[in-house]
Amino acid sequence: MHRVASAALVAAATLVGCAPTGGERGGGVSGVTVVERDATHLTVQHPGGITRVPRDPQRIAAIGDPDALYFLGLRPVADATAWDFDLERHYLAPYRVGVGQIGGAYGSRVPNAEATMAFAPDLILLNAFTRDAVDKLDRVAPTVVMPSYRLGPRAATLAAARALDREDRALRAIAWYDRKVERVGAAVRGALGGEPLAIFWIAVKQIRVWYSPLLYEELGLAVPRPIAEGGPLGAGKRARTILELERLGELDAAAIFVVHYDDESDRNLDLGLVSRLPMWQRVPAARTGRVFTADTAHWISGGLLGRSVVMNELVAALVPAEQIDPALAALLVERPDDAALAAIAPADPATVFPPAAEGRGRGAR
Amino acid sequence: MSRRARATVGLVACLVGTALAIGYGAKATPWPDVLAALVTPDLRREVDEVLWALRLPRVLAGALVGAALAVAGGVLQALTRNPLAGPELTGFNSGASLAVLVGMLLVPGLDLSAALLFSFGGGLVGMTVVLALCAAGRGGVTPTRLALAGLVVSSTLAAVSSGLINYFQLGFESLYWTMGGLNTVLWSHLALVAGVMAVGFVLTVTLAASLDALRLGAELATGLGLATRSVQIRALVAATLLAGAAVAIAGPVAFVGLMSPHVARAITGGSYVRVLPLSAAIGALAVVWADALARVHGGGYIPLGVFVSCIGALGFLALVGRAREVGHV
Repeated sequence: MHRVASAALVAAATLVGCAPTGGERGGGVSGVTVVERDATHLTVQHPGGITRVPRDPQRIAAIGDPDALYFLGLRPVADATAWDFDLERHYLAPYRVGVGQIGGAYGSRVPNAEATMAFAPDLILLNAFTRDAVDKLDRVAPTVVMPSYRLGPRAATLAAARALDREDRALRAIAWYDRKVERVGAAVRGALGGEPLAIFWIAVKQIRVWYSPLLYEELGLAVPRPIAEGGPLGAGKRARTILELERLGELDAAAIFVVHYDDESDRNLDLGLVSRLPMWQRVPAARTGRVFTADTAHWISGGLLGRSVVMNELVAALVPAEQIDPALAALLVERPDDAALAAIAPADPATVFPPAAEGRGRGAR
Repeated sequence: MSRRARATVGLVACLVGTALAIGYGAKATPWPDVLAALVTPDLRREVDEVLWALRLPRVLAGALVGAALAVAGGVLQALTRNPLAGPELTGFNSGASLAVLVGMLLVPGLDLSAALLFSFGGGLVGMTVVLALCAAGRGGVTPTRLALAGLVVSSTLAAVSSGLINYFQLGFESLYWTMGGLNTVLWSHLALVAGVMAVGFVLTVTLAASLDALRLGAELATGLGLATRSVQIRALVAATLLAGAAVAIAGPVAFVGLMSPHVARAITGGSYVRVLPLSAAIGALAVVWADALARVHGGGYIPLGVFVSCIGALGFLALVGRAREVGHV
C-alpha cells in the first residue's frame, strides 16, 4: 500500500510540475565536491547541480553503476546495473543479495522513477544522467550525479564517497587498488614475457579486439597489433577494432580472453569457428593454449571492483602459482577489508581526480 | 554484333571480372603469390592459407549469391510479368530476415543449416502473402499492385523485425541478417547452400524457354500448349530455392535480383534463354566486387549489403527513368 501511494505521489508530482526538492541546477562541474557540511547534511556540487543530501544516508539507491558502492563495502537499498549494453553484471551478484532491483533503463536512458520511489531512498546516486532523469529522480530523493565515465572508475569511486562523506575510506581503497595494479601488472607482464594480451569481443560473426584501459594503461601490458595499427575509423574508435579473419594470422597476442555479447553457447560456437581456421595456429596464444573465456560485463565495463576481479582472473590464468608471493596473494581479494584499509596510506586526491576535472568541465549541462 | 554474341561476350567478361576479385582482400596478396597459391597450393604459406581457407569460399559464395538472386529476380519478373519483381520487392528478403530472427530466438546459437530452413520458410511466407494480396483483387497481379503489396508487406515484416530486435536486445546478432555480408563464409557453409542453389539453377534452365512463353500471358501460353500451372509452380520453387539459399548465407542483399535481369535484357534482348545466364553473371560480378570493396575498404565495418545498396539505388533510379520513357511503369 505504501508503495502504491508513493508511486501515486511521484506521478502526481510529475504531472503538476513541482520543483525539485533536493537540488538546484547550475552545478556545471564534472566532479563531485562538498561545498558545505553541518551536523546532519552535506551540500554537494556535482555535474547535475548543487544538492543537499543527508550526511549518513540509510537508504541509498544506486542507479547506473553501483560498482563503486560495493567496492567501498557499502550496500544500497536498491540498484540498477543495466546500463552499458544492458549487460548482466554477474560479478556483483554476491554483493547484491537482498538488494532491491530498480530495473533496466537501457534504451531510454531515463531511469524508472516510480520503481525507485518504491524503495523510499533517502539518497540517489545516478550515473550517465540526462537532465530529464535528474529532474524526475530529484522529486523522489536528493540525487547526486556521478562524473562522466570518461574520467574513469577511480574518479567515480571518489565521487560516490564524497557524496556519502566517506572520502578518506575511498582514498585508502583507491590506494589499495593502485598497489594491486602495480603488483598484478608486474606479475602478468612477467608471465607474458612482455608480449601483448588481447580481448576478443565476438559479435555478429566478427572478432573485435577490445581496448581495455585496465590492461594497457594501468597494468602496462603490450597492445596487440590490430589496436596498435588502428582501424579505418581511426584511433578514436579503437575501443572495438575489428580483426578481419584474413589478418588473424598476424595477431601477436600471447594470451587471449574471449568475451561475448551473448550467452555461453554462442560464445563457444563462434570461438569454435575461429579456431578451425588454419591461420589460428599462427597466433601465439593459440599455439600455447593461452585462450580463455571471460565474463563480458566486468572485462569491458567494470568499475574498480570489476577491474579487481579481472586482475584476479588474469593472475589465476597466467601467473604460475610459484610466482605468486605472499604480498601479491594478499591482494588477490576482490575488495579491501577494514584491516587492509587501515594499513594503507590514502591516495592523493589530485591523482584520482585531476584538479582540472573539479572545475567546469564536460559533465556540465 | 548479334544478341547471342553480345550475351557471350558479356558472360565471359563478367566471369573474368568475378575471378579477378580473389586478388583483393584485407590482407595484401601480390598477384604472383595468388597465382602460386592457386597453381601449387602449399598451406604452410600464409597467403595460401588466406586464399584457400577464407577468400576463395567467400568469392565463390559471393558469386553464387549474386547469381542466385539475379536468376530468382529474373524468374519472378517473368512469373509476375512485372519489371519491379525481385526477392527484395516481393516480401522474400524481409520474410526471410524475420524468420531467421525468430529462429535465433527459438534456437539459441542457431547454425547455418537451421538458418537456411528458417530463411526458406520465411521468404516463402513473405512472398506468398504479397502474391496473395495482389491476386485478391480484380485484375490479378499488376505491376502497381505488386509494388504496393511488396512495399506494405516488406515494411510490415521489417517493422516486426525491428520490434523483435529492440525487445530482445538482438542488435548485434541481427545486424548480420539485416545488412547482408559474407565475412565469415567458410567451405562448410558454402557446401550447405551450393546443393540447394544447384537444384534451383537446374530447374531454371529447364524452364527458361517456358518463361518466354509465359511472358505472353497465362491464357495465351496455355493456348500454345504450355502446362502453365506446372511451369508457374516450378518457377516459384526455383526462385524460392535460389533466393532462400542466398539470403541464408549472405543475409538480405538488395537490388541484385531486381537490377541484374534488366541490365542483361538491355545487353541481349528479352529472351530468358539468354537473359538468365547473363543475369547470373552480372549478379555474381556485382556481389563479388561489392564484397571485395567491403574487404578492402570496409575494414570489416561496412558489409557488402551497404555497398550493393548504394550502387543498386542509383541503378534503380536509372531503371525507373528508362521504364518511364518506354511506358513500363
